[in-house]
Amino acid sequence: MKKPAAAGDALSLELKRSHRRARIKSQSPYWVMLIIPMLFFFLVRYWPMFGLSIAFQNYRIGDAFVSSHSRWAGLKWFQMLLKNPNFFRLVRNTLVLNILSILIAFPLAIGFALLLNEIRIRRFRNLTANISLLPYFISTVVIVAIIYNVFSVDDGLVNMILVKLGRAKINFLATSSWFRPLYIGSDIWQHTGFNAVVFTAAIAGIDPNLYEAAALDGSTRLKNIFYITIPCILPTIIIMLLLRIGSIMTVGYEKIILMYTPMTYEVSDVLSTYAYRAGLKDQKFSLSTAISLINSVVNVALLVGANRLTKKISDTSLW
Amino acid sequence: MKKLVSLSLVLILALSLLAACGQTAPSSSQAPASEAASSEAAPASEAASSEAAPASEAASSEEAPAEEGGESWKEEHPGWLCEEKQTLSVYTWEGVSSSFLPPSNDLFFWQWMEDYTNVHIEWEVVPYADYSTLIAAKLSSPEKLNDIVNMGASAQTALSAGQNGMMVDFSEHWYDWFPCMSKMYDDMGIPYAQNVTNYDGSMYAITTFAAPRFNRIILLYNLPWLEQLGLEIPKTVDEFTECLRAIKAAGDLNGNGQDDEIPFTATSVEWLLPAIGTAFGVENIESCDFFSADENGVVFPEYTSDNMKAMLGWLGDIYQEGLLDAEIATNTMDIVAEKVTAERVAVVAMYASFCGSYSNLTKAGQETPNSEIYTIGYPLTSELAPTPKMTMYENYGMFTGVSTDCENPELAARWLDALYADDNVMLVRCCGKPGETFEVDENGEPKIIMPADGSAWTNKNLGCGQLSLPYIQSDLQLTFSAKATRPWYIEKYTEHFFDYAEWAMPSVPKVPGYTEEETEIRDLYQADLKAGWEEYRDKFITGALDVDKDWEAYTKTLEQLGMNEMCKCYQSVYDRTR
Repeated sequence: MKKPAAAGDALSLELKRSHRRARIKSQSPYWVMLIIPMLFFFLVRYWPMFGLSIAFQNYRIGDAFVSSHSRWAGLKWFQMLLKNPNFFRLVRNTLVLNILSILIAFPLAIGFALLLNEIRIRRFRNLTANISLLPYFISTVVIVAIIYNVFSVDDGLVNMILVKLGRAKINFLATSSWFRPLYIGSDIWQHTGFNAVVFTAAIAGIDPNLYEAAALDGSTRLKNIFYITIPCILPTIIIMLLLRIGSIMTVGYEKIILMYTPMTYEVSDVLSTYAYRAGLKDQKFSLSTAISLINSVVNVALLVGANRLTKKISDTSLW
Repeated sequence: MKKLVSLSLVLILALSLLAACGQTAPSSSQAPASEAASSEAAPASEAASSEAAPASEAASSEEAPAEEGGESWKEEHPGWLCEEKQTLSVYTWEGVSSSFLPPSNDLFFWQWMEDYTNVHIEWEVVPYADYSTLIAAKLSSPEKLNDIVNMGASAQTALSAGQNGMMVDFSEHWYDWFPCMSKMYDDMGIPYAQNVTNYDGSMYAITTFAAPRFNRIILLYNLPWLEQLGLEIPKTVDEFTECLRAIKAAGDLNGNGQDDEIPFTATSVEWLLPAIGTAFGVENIESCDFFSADENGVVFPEYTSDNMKAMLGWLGDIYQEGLLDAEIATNTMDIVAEKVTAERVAVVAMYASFCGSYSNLTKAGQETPNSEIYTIGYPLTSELAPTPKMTMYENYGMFTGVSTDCENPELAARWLDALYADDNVMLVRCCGKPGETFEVDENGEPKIIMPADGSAWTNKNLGCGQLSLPYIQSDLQLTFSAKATRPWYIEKYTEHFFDYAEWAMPSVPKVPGYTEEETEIRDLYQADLKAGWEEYRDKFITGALDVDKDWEAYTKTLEQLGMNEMCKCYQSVYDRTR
């Protein structure tokens, strides 16, 4: 009895191997094409990680990242960062800007995609989508220049309107309480159209039969949004949300550096701007690297935690 | 077929990715053709200009070490640094603001310099904004460095680059390679070599030296407006405040039908304070770190002094009254230039050399009328500081070195020496075209030849735009160019400052010769302290914080940011260098 079973197993194993070989052969062009992104990630993302070692050194320009001459400093730069009286303010500002962005800008992109989907005239829908996409391609410097022109206290459009209405001028650009609204508001204006693209694509992938069946059952368009569209794009929303959480400690410093003044440091100075000032302007590369390393570690921890949570709740996760 | 196409596509992309990794620096021979062409296109007439240099100046070159073999070319061309024309490459910035012309072989001075020294320069010019980042990237990259490198304002960058073998150590060659500079500073009695020598005895760079002379940040007044209102140039803080109030009350002084006049402004708060600091007894406020030494040699922080508190309080008051520009916290040089050109500003805190017509605050090189619109004011006084004083500011900055990649470091050093301190070079750099914008009298003194149409020379006619390599803010440069562009300048400056005020107390010198420990302390605290000070300063001025209520919190914050540690550090520097 055992012999036929063993022969069957061998046959089955051979079949599996042959099937795997055939599958690999048929997919070979894709495997080869994968070399490019892998090379990219290795050279641009992983290889530079050796540079992280300078967070533990007294690094100077021109030093090798690791050599027998490296001047190791242990956790000196991490301790220095933690001792900085402004450290918690930097972390708070970074988190607040990102959380506000997630709470306001992220849902707006979803809402915009849903609204676009409801436009019945195709040409108008395409035109609206294209117009909303355009600000994304304007450089940050130009965006900030527009902000300065519109909100300038001296001859800005908004202040001119305020004066016409008999109200006092507001120094938007040098007032702490106005920094976040300006930053988030301009971010929404610039990125909502682009961020909605992913959700628009997800909506386009929903089976039209679902809407037809719902129409037969007398469903309204509003009900379609809540009971068909949103549930169908929920996995995409979750994935995008996870990716945002994975970069919650990271704020692009370019726009802030262009926008902030000492008057607004209280709410605008974030970890990345501090890393820029300390690391690049004052040449404390080790401190700057230590900040980036802390950022990355916290980001990874948050990403893993959020991923586990969503997996438990919704069965959708990054891995 | 599909596989073949995809494979070749992958191969091409992979090769292009790897190809980008191994890019090497362009060799000097690969310089833009336009630059090479421009130097060739230098007018031949300029070649003769060096010969027109005064004999008294020629004497300085004779003091250079004698060339071996007694070459005849040296006798014919005393300024030449080499018999065959040589090429050096230079890495530097465009200019500290858009007001200045970037260095280029298209400019008269650099064409003349090439003829005078027989050295052709290939420029690699990058934006001034963010130069510290650019130079850090340049020094960190494996690319071959230019022969001469402007390493920016950081002494630490120059030291690191030198200690890592990227820069030539001048310490052994100071008197051989820098004959003009060493003589000039020895004559001036300034221990320059000592001050630019690092703690380990090395000297990897030479630096700009700003002598405390004719170009301080001061108050410039709109003369026609003062005359229109019958106002005198104020001498005290009270008079100044009343003057601003009168200007505000006068309303539409520029006659454009709008209430857009700004009584008092500055290109930034940083430039506002030096103009009024001495009026409140805050004497050393033009340098980056506000640490002064008192008459007993004790270093103290100006940040938290009572005088500083009084000054910030007064600024807060005039801001609330609408006398100070509402945009003072976000102003830039270009924004203020626009306001001034639009005839909106009554008083502006600015470098003295900017006084004159409206466009002296805009781009250099513009044809401007020779008119006195913005005139030089007096240093103000108050009960806190009854004696008028000028800020004393002596600074070493802008570190320039010769890279170890340079094949002829001595030539590069000698070229820098000539640029920095050769008498003939200084003369042409400051005074413009020999025989056209100036001539030398029988006493060897340069005399301006004013334009035939009665106007004045512009910076473009006179010199080379912004010198983006080491220079000394010499009296010759400042007084001559001022005489040529604004004849009343020296007279007013002398009347309102040199004959009127005293020098303020000296600052702790910003020299590179810090010990390793001192350097570390400074690097640890300097940036945070500056950011903390700027934040509170602007909030006090704009009324976001109250000087009386929030002063204690401010002092405590600066202490947490390392003010006391910095003070100890500067005390040791002061004790060693003074």
